[in-house]
Amino acid sequence: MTPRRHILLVDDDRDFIEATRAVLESICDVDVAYGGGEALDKAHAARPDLILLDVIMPDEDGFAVREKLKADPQLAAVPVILLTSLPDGLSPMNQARGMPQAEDYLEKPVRPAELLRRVNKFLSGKAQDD
Amino acid sequence: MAITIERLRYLDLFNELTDVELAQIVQLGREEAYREGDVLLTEDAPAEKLFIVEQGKLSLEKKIQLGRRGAVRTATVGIVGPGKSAGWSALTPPHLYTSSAVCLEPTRAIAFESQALLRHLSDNPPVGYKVMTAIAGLARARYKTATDTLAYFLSIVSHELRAPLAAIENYLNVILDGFAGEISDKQRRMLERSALRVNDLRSLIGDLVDLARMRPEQIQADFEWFDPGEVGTESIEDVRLAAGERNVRIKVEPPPKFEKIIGARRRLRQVFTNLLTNAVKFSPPGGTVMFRARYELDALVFEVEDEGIGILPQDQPHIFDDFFRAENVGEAPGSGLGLSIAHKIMDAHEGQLLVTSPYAEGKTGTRFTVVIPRNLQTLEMRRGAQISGSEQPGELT
Repeated sequence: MTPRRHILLVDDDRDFIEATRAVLESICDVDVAYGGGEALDKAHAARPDLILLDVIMPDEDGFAVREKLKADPQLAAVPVILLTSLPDGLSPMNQARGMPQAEDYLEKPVRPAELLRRVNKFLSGKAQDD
Repeated sequence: MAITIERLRYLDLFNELTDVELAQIVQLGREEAYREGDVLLTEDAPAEKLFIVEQGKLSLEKKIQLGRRGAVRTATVGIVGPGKSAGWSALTPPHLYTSSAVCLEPTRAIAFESQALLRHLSDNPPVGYKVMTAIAGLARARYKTATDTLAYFLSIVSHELRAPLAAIENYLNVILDGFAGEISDKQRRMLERSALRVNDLRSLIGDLVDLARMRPEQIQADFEWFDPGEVGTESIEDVRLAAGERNVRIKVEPPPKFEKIIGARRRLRQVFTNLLTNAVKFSPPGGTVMFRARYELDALVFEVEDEGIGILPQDQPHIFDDFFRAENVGEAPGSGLGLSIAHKIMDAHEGQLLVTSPYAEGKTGTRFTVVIPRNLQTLEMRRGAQISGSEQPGELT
């Protein structure tokens, strides 16, 4: 039997975490972090298969956290989906900040079916083929 | 207390004047004292005096009305403290105050009669030039502060309002999709209504934020080559769900072949989606919305036609105004900003957004026509044209 996959969900909004966790737990194990620093610690400790990472957080924003994850040889291969409630998506901001494109991003509010589709895409390893 | 040139020297309007010039101005000023709550200027009233505050504070206030029928409210748009002036409109036609000024605390000011000061400035052009230059600088600084503050405020509002709404919508979606246990039909109906209302609120916030981003240069900075057929298809996708729910059919008549044009791709999609959304919203159940496109010699023309309630003749001149809601829309949701934003987008394209209602004899319904010029240039092309234009005067159009 295939072991359950493991996701790290990072957001400072506890309500967003609770709602999203309820959906994700239908397909995988979910660990949560409420800020950038905690996310880096938990990513090191648990080595998740996928990280869902909020962009705007008070201690350290999602771009900075993602940069640190990608700079760490042990975590660089873990795919990261950025989460945002920004109206225009992430591309212009990514370009403005000279950031490489994220593997993927999801706009909040997230629809459960769309969330599961995107997450499954990465967990089943199909993302590399897209 | 006598007004001396020392008291005028450091005031914002006069700090470029020489002692001789200040000595002439001194004779025109009069010290006045006001109590907290006194009104020095009244918006839209004849501007008879210009004030320079020496002590105390004034609150600058403007009347704000959302839509033609909205309540008139007052908003504080600035604070004038010591060394600063209020009532510049006394020096420029039509000599009506553009805001009101109320004392926030006991205030001492030097007041100048506008007629006497204007006469002095026109009789002494070097002094007039310096004072008017100072006013232009102050107006520029105040405008920049206002637009910077608005942009900052909107970025905060945008996130701070969207984040809790997104959290609410997430919960609603999770419950409605069955991830939090079973719900009854009655609960489902109520939650679906809640989700719709939250979605309306999120659209309104998006419209408000958009409204502040609609300066032509902001839109033109996004000009790029794109396939208008793709954008039309995306807009139809945007409204497909709503059309299905109302059993409204969208009939498409494209040109034989779409050629790429230049424009702000995302903004034009916003225009089409807005027009299609309105057409679907106001169509009778089972009705048809026509979406067609054709190339003319110097423009690409899109038309959106519906069989809906139409727009009353008396409302047609106002439908592109900010916050305008037509008489006959009833309880249909909407902020009154969608068409105004669409019109601003078309202005930035030097194009047109036209309305015809009714558009055919014996029919109801509305036709919106979008005209996109085919000679637009991207930012890079404009820069290139400027460089070559500087080498070949007269080549630029």
